[in-house]
Amino acid sequence: MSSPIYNRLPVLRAERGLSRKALADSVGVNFQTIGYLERGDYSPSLELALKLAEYFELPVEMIFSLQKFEPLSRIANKGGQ
Amino acid sequence: MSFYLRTAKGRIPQRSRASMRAAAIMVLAGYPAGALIALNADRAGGGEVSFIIGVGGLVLIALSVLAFFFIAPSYMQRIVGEQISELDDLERDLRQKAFSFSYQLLTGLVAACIFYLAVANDETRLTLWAPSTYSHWNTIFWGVLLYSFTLPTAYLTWTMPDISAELADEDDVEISPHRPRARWWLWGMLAAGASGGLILALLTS
Repeated sequence: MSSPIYNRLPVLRAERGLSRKALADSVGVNFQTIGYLERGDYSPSLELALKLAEYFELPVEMIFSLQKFEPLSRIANKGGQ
Repeated sequence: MSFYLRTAKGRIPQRSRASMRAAAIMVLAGYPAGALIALNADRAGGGEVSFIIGVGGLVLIALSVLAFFFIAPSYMQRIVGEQISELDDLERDLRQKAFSFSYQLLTGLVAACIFYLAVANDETRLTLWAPSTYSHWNTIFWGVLLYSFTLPTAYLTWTMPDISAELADEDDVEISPHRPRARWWLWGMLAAGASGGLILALLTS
């Protein structure tokens, strides 16, 4: 049984105002695959994870993680303290 | 072996999971039920009653074929029937799981059927019905074909998460900007098989 892989795809997509279709076309997958990834129903292959990291210009561990991501509001609050 | 009906513009019509499940049940249960009813209609004593029962069986078969053509252009059928080079990571993964499940189930069914045929043909034990005429074998052939086309999709209709609500705004989506080339070798084999069958039928008649 593989452990779930959490991701920040919905946040990154919303941040850039991208539709699922636009992101899917950019990384060469079906738009429904993006939906499954965002929901955590599917863990991406290494190739797809690297393509997404390249597209968002972020390290892959900023997009995918084995641990739940901390909410951005909490990170922002920590920064303010 | 599977079959995917690619639409002319390459667009994939959205099908709800409930409708796909209903269509899969119709194909997998409707066809055998319809075939059994149609083939055994004569047992009702003949005449009008047998005719009505026979027509009822044929209607069930027709409905199951229609249900298959409802499934044929769907996204789930695309996963199991489209050329592998046209699928992405997730779709290949799902296809492998669907085929693996179908292989297990179909081989189990075939083994059970062969065991039944062996027992049915052993006259020293039980007197069981066994297919013997062209109609029987023809019905079984189309049933096996329909099952092999539908089982992988049926597996997906029950195991794929439903994200239709999230994707409602997408409508009909063009999956690939180009249409893959036709598999002429496959159509060639089918045409050769059909021609061979026709020639054999003409020679033996």
